[in-house]
Amino acid sequence: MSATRATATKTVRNRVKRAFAKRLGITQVAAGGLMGQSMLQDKLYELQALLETMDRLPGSAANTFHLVAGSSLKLRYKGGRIDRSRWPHVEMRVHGHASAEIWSNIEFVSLSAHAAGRLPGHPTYADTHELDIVVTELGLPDGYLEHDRIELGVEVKDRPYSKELLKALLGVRREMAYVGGGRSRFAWWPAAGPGASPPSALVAFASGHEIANYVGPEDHFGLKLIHLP
Amino acid sequence: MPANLTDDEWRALFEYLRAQVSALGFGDWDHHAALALDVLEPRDATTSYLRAFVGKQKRATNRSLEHLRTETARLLTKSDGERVTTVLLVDDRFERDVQYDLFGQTVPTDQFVDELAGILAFLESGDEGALR
Repeated sequence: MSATRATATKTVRNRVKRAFAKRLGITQVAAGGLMGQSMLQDKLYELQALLETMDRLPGSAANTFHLVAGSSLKLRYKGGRIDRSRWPHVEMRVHGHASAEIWSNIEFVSLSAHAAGRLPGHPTYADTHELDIVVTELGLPDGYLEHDRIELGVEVKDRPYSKELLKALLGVRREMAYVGGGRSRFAWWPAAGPGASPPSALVAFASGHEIANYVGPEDHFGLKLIHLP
Repeated sequence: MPANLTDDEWRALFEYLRAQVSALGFGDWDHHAALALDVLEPRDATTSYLRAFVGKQKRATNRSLEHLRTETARLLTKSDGERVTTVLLVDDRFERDVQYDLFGQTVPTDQFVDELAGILAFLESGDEGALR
């Protein structure tokens, strides 16, 4: 290594070390709980995606959003069932009339479990998949969300996008609907592709601009990949 | 920079950055980010990694939180029409829920973000002025 390169590398390492050491000190002094900064920041991005979804839902000028059951929006550490007594959700109204519900961190029972006749109330671990945000019809009962009740699913990734994430997204989409059929009433992007049965759609928000490299399968599967910086 | 660094030198720098990010508690993010950027040349992987991390930190600064709080206030409570200003992360893995106020967390300082952005600018341009 030449002296110039060695100096430059050392300078960068020193700068990085100094910046992180200060930040680490602050984080340790302020740590009051068990939750890491990484998870808290991931949830901030989920909140950003939720607000973005609200903005993009069709009819946005006429839409209003109301928190049902509580005065604080609650994001769950991990996904689970709909439980109206415990978790708030957002009600979307169009011209004052309730039109849809928006839930966060909800697990749905897969299309394959349904096809195999496994009961929605007792799914296996492999039968359920979490969606970070989900738009549904009004008044669904407590319990696992069934795949044919999803109008719009949203996946959120605050990190560089990868082929692995695309594969996972395609897998989730496969368990939501068959290819061919109708179009979700909440899909805000121009109609293309064969539609889906049931007529749902799936959106992925990612902070990494690389997500633009993975748009190939979008139309066929009713997917929308969006860079949300 | 250091445009003339060898691939091995870039790799070493990348690994150093990864170690710092992981030590700060972002091990899971680091793992996935490094996997996603594995297809790039060492120099691009290093700068893309740092750019992504700077972006992540920037989204959590006080200014970003204030913006999110304002946006969240578009939500009204159904019961009395009040604006919603609190967002909680609820850890329900244990017998009793533990709640974290998303807007009340310890945030990355502007100084931290600026320092990282300066290092990134230096890596991309080689301009030492970016480090000041």
